[in-house]
Amino acid sequence: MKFGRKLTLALLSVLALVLSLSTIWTQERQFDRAFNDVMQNAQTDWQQDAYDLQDALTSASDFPLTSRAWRHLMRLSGQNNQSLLAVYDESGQSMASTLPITLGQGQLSSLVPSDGTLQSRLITGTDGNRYLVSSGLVVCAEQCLTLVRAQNLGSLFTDRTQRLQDALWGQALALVVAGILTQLFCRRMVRPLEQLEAATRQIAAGAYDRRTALSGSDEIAGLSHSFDAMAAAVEDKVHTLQTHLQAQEDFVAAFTHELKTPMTSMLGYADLLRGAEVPPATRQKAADFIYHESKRLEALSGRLMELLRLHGSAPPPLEPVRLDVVFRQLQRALPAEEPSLTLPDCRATVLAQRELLCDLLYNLAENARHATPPDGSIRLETDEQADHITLTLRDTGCGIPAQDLERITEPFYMVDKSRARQQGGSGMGLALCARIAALHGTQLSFVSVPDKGTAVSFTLRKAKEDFHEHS
Amino acid sequence: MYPILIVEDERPIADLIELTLTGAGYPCRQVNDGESAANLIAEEDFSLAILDIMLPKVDGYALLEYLRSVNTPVIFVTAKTTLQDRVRGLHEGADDYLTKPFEPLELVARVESVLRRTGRGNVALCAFGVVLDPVARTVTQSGHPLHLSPREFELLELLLRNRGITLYREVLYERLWGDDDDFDTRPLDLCITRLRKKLGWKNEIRTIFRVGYRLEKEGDVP
Repeated sequence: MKFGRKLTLALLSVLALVLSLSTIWTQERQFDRAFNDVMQNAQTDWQQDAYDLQDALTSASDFPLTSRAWRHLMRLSGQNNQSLLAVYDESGQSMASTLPITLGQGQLSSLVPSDGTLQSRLITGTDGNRYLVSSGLVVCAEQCLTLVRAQNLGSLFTDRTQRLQDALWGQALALVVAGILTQLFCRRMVRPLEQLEAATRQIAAGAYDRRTALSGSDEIAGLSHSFDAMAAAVEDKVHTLQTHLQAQEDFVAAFTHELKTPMTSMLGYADLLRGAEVPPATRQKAADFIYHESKRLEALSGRLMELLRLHGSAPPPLEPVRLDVVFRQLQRALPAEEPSLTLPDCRATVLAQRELLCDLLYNLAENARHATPPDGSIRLETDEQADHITLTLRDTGCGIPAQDLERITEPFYMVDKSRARQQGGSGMGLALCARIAALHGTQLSFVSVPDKGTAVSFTLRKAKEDFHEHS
Repeated sequence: MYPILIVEDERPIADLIELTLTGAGYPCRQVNDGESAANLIAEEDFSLAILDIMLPKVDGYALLEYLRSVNTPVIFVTAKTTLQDRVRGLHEGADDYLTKPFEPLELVARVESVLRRTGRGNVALCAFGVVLDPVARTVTQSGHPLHLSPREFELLELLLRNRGITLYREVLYERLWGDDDDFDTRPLDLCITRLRKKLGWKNEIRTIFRVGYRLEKEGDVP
């Protein structure tokens, strides 16, 4: 059952119960008051009748008591008096009566003979009519008589039933109106919940950009806010995962491409050579291609292994390294051809892994050498700060186009593929450099102007010992 | 017949395609980037273009659009192997799609099938009055149809394609019978004998002792 319907039913049943109780209580109170009035009137009337009877009995004392009583009652009915009266003697024997026969001796036994006090009782006749019967003693010369006065209460009770019925109808009508209003009200209350539910279902089905966005300041709006925050977090996470997956797919695609290109040449030329006798010039060319493409694959696999090793491992322990030592090692590793690398005189000690740092500088220097004509210059600059030192490698080479700048550290990315190939590039050098920089807690930042040159810099932390040396 | 345009930025592969197609008798033009390819297409006519997708300056898809406008059929040769790439290539109107690495013979077969389908180029191979149609797979001698078994047909095709070149018997055997470890090449010798008999080529197919077979050129038959 829907929540809105449950709420409506619960409210309606409480309302019905309360309404019914209050109606019944009110009706009963009214009836009680009316009944008491009737009873008081009945007793006053009885008093009057009792005086009249006493007078009548005293006035003509030569007749027997019974006929005197009868005569009084007859006279009363002759005067069109509708009073229902009965007179009983001391022993409770009826002397005269204008009571309906349905009110027999049996019903009146508790009142006749009277014990002297005026009392009133509600008595049901054998035909089901209800009477208010009052009885008391009337003292006359011969004996004490009991005067019984009955009053038909039919109209009072019919009235009560009528009123109760009216009240119930009214109540039913009120309940219907209340039911409709409650239904509308509940629907309005429940609508945000339904919206929330629909939105969550959509989000669960994969629409991570869906938001519930309910306005207001109640608990449901609060829930909506929390829910939106959760959906945003989920969307973020999914996005991150997708980006990561995309990066992985891109890497595999680029890797496959890099692998397939030399493979195609090697397979094709080998097939050419093995199938038939080819002219010496073609054979020479084919063998040359096969050799160089194999070398390229070999270099690629080496680089890839290095990158995977750096990716898989935990950051290497960084230790104090003298920069001038690294620079000397770098100078030895670089080829002696122009353009040569100009190194600064810097004896600072940094926190680094020596081999990796040397590898990083070597790769950057080789890239710069490839981009710079022999008469250009390549300079490594250092900028010492209190607790860190920034190394910048500046060349006057061909520069990097702005649109390529942010992708150059992606594996296999090459700005000029054919030139890079000719120089033995695999597109992995800068990816490796970026990884090494990351392991040193820094990152490479490139500033490049096409045809003017490129500057790449990164920052290393100084070793503590260095401070002591200077201070 | 117009030449075949090869657009491939990897020199070794471009050379390989050119070598293969020239060997199969198709003149070729080779360029190594998209921009010079676009210029060349504007200036000259080609019977077919073989395109790499990832090209410097102008990529293969852009060139494809350009070539469609001059009604030149296109074969993509690329290392991109995902289904989306293939679908995209064919969807945009490439006539065929060849993935790297490919076998030179397969390249020739695809080129001929596209040329045939688009009604360009005479792809029949002829020698000494024998005409072989590699796409329709029919052989005629002096106008009369000849019936050859599939192996004989393939053998004749290989010989015709490499006219004047000695084909090594092991590789011939491998290409016709598949790559099994059994190096008994006698079925090849029998097949050659049957082919010689059917075509009446006694001296035209020459046996190079211990090396292989060669289909002589027109003037070289004694």
